[in-house]
Amino acid sequence: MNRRDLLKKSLCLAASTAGFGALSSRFSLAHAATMYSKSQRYLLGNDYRALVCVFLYGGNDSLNFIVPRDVPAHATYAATRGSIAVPRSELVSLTPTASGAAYGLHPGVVTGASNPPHASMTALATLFNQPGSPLAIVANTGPLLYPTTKTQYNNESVALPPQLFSHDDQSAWWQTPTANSFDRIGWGGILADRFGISNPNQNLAMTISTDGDNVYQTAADVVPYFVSAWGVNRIDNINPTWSEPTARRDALYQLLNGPLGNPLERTYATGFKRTVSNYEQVISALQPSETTFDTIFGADDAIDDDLTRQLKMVARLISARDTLQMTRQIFFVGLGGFDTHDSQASAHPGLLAAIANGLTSSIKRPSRWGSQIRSPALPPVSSAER
Amino acid sequence: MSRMHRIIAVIGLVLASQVSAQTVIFTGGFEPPPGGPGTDQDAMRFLTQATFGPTMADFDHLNLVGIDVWLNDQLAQPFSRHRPYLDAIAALPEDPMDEGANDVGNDTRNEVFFERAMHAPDQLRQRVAFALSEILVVSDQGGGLAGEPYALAHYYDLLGEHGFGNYRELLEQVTLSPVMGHYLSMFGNRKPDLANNIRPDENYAREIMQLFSIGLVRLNSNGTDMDDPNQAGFQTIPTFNQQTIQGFAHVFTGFTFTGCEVREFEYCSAWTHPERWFEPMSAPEGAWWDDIYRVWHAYPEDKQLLVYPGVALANGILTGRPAPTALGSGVTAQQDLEAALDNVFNHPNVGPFFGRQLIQRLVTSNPSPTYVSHVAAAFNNNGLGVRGDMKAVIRAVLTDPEARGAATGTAPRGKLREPLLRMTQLWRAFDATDPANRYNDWFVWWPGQYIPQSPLHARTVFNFFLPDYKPAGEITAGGWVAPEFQIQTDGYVTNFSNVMDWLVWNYAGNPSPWADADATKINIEAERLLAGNATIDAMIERLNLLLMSGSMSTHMKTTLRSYLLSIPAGEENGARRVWEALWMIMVSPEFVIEK
Repeated sequence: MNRRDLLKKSLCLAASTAGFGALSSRFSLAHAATMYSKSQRYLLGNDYRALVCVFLYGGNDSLNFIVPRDVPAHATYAATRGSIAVPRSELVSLTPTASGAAYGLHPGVVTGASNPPHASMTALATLFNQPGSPLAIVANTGPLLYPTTKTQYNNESVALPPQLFSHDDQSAWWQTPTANSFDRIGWGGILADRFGISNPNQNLAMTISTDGDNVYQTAADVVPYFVSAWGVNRIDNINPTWSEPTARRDALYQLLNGPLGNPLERTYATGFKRTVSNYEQVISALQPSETTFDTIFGADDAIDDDLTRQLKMVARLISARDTLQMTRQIFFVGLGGFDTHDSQASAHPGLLAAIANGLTSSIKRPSRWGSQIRSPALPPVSSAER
Repeated sequence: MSRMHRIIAVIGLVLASQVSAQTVIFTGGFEPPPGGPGTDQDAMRFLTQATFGPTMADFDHLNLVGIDVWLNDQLAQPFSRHRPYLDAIAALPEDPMDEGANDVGNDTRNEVFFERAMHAPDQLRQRVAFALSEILVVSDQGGGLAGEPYALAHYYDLLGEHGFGNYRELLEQVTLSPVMGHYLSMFGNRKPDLANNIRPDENYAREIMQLFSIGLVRLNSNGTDMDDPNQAGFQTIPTFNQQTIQGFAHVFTGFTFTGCEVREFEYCSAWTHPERWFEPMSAPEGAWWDDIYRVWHAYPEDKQLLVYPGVALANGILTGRPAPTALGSGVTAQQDLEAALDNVFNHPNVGPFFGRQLIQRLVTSNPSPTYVSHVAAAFNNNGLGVRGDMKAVIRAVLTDPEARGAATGTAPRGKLREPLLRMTQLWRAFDATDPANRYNDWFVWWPGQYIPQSPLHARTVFNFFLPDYKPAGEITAGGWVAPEFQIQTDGYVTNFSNVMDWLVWNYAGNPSPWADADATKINIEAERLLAGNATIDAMIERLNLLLMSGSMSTHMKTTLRSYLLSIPAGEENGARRVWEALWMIMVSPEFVIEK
């Protein structure tokens, strides 16, 4: 089954919140725990899978990223888009769909200026167009509950997500499966809460973020590991490789271990110990890969774009999966700046080129990340990154 | 030891450490002064809430005059503005040894933040300004404000100056600030021009309601969500809908820098007139190129504003009327704006919504509904029939029995100390000084990956953390909130712990060749003198009182004691024991959670 078929099938199954609930209830925590031992669970999933979510903050105008190329469809698009529409002749062609509908990518350069398309855009299109491509487009997804016309919106005749048109709120609803609650537990957070038990290493969260706190990975129980794409540091004062800090470390841990009478204190202490455990595991696991990914992503001090920097850290962590004893991981990468407002024409091309560059440099050499990866770690860019 | 004797003993220590002495007059018996504090611990707790960190001098003064007098005095203080500091730095000549040190940028705003936190006599006013900067958010991260440090400092000064006035005036100053105008798109916002597909931008209209005044759902006066009686089960009631947003968006049109004429509206800038950043925006009108009177404000449309019990406008609608055709011929854009702000100001949500956030910034993350209702009541009426009196609100926040230590019910007491406040608390407690009188250490100048916050620098308009953020685990399970945990991510916990090490180790008199001569240095002489074996308990008690308001548990004292005794007493002449104790305390759970 290729990647596109898998996506189609799993989307049908999880098309509604109810569907997702039905899927997940068959893998409830209690169920898994009674069915298999820890080593059996590891053997069950002898492969490794990682989900990498690249979230575009501010609301990417995906209709200007993947643009209709058929003449009538493009004409409709251009009429509504006015001065920010991408001319048909400048689109980078994508292979038409099975039903024959044709689309193209934004060229990744300022349109109407007769520049050739950005190299990363043509590379992305080539990757999409090749037989057995690892890329697929998932269109028409988002927080709306039903396809909604303007009349229905004005009359409020269909159920609508809360705070429509507030893109900060819609960003949050994008990242959670439940739209009727202000308790923001995210898709990735639910997966970590329910399936995190399947990792042999129970001392590292299934969820890792290179972009700090996010709704997608927010869970009821599992706190993600928030790694800095700039590198992982230690708390120097309690570094166990120095003789002096041992007594200091022991004393601090006596304080962290309590007794602590206040839930806020206990939450802080748990978090502090988890931070130390996280960096101690990760620093040693990452050492072998310090220069391995320089050829794909560039040397650390040569990288000046945020997406590349984050994806490099993700790649390094994936390559360390055996050392870290992880079989299922969910990564969150965040990219800002998509709230372009009236600077759309000047700012958007560069942002899209950065996305394309990050995707193509990560996907093109999956075998370098480890022999057990059979499919690329990165999901396709969908038309619904709002 | 009686409280009076304790105070004398503490003053004795204060005199020994050469902090300025107070003349102490005691009557025969000892009663708590009016309004408290009733105990040493509560004195320190109050100062932790109402200043940037207690000092022994403040402690003595508060014990002498009491909370009521202390508050009256502080509420009468003028605001020590931040922008003049930037001007003073700009006037300094270039430093040949440190290129760029006297250039003014956003890092200079960080510098003045610390300078005022350390030395401004109007501590409460500075603390409230900081709290307001986390509610009425602007940031150098948006709106093209990265290059406007003076404008941002001026905005901060607005919060400081109006934070002790009336909330209605504060809201108007914020609304008309060109800084806020740029940050949330009200600047240059124009009336509809449907032929050109132009509609009023809705950014500010949404945020002024959602974040700055009333929130998303109707609240009871105690801050709990109101239940919709017309729907089964518990259903919240939205405060506004898209129509309301469009209504306010139409009001917030036509405004630009004061000084631009009507013909300059579309390209008005402060490029050649930087002083325009320091004036409230206004709505120019007048003769267009064709001599016809032109306006940029949306006059004719009826604007749906907020609807609530007792609303002044019928059905919450601000009726449209024809645009004026000459100056002074009718109601102005400014008057429309004022009517709209009145509509917001009088919504019953403001007291509980805004009041609860002030409680969270100053006292505790999970105030009881009773506490919130007290503060909301003070907002609604200051006792003299005035709504929105900020001084009354602040006084209510700080003098409420719950703030002063009364039982809170099941919710956890207190909050996680914000990183910036942990730094100011350390520096104030130990009288930190800088050889050049500039708080411009590397981590102040570029907090970057080390300190997760700096003034007017949040990633989004939602501040560094959301008021309702819940860390996973016990807090989520209990249905409580803990906003400051949102920036307690692994990288920051690690890097900030290392910053703490830098702060405590750079003490005045550190003989090590690795100590930084230019660093801000804390004064730990009084503690160093107590670091010997015979007085180690007294040293721990002093740190307990100064940093933790006396709340240190027996377990923590025992652990600290035995660790400190394992360090040779003579190392660094006793200073080693002091900074070891300081670092251990500053990263400990019992300190980091202020209670």
